[in-house]
Amino acid sequence: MTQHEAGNGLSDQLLIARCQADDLSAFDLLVDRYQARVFGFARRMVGDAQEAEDVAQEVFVRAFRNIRRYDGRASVAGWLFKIATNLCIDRRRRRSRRVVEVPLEPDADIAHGLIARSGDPQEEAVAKQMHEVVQSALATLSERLRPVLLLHDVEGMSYEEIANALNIPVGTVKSRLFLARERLQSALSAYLQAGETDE
Amino acid sequence: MNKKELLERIERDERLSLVEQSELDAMLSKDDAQQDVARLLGGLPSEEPSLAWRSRLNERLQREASKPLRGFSWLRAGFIASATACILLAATVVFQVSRSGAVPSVSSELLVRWHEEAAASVALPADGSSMTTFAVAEQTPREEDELDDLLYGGSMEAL
Repeated sequence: MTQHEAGNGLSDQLLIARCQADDLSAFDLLVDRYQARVFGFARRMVGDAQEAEDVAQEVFVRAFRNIRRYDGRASVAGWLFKIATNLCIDRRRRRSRRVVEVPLEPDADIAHGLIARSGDPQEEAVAKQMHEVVQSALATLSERLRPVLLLHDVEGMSYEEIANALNIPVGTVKSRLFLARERLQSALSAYLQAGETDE
Repeated sequence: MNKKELLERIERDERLSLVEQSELDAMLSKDDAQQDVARLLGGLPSEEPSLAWRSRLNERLQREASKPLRGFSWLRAGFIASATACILLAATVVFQVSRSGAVPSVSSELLVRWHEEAAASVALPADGSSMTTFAVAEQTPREEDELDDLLYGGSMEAL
């Protein structure tokens, strides 16, 4: 189900109001609407599909617990991504304390849950490979740069929404986005050049 | 300022001037390399979590919804704690008083008499003669008289 289909055209604010009145079905509609975005964001933030599933679950459970505190100042997407960002950073820090390396090489499970839209096997294979390359390049970015890049270029959030979600000034959002794009491009170039020499 | 200089300044966490900020805005929206990355990321396919994931989430949400303390706030917790403390304090006071025995009951008349006796005992006569304690005391019945009445059914002098 896509985010546009979920909720039958009800606005986020109306769904939130119904959730705050203990309507669990309204929260189900919110989950329908945002589960793919939250899961995709977590997937690109933490790299591991299983961990991304755990993060996405925790995002919605925490949102449910704190639904009465949501005051509507931030968008629902911004609020959910704020929770997701904090959880992802927290998990990566805990994992780095356990000295587990983040795999930079594409692994076999990287396409977990990936739904190719074209139907053409060759296009699917190319899209999958590109996805793997981008995921590996994203993993090289720091925790400061990655969420800004994902929230702006993948999720389409505005500078102001990102600033609000990450608690940083708008100017810092722009600086980090600029730096993140430059570094991602360098990482992609290096990755693709390495692939060419291997062949 | 060219792109490389701007990049170096940002990497060094230096504060950008207004002109540099506008240059940064322009590069973010118009620079080809920047736009290539934006397009690449924007074209990534979306990923849906599995149905098993959704089923687990629904179970967790049901559990959360059935928790009795849903909507529990620190404000409410503070109120409950304060009320409990007040009740305990009141119970403690009542318990202490009842343990120490009955509170002596003093009639208002007795209190007035004690006050008058105390005032009279320190009053000095204007002519410098002896203290008027006895005179005042004679006007008011002594406490002993009442005690005598209780014990012997009459005044000690009558005996």
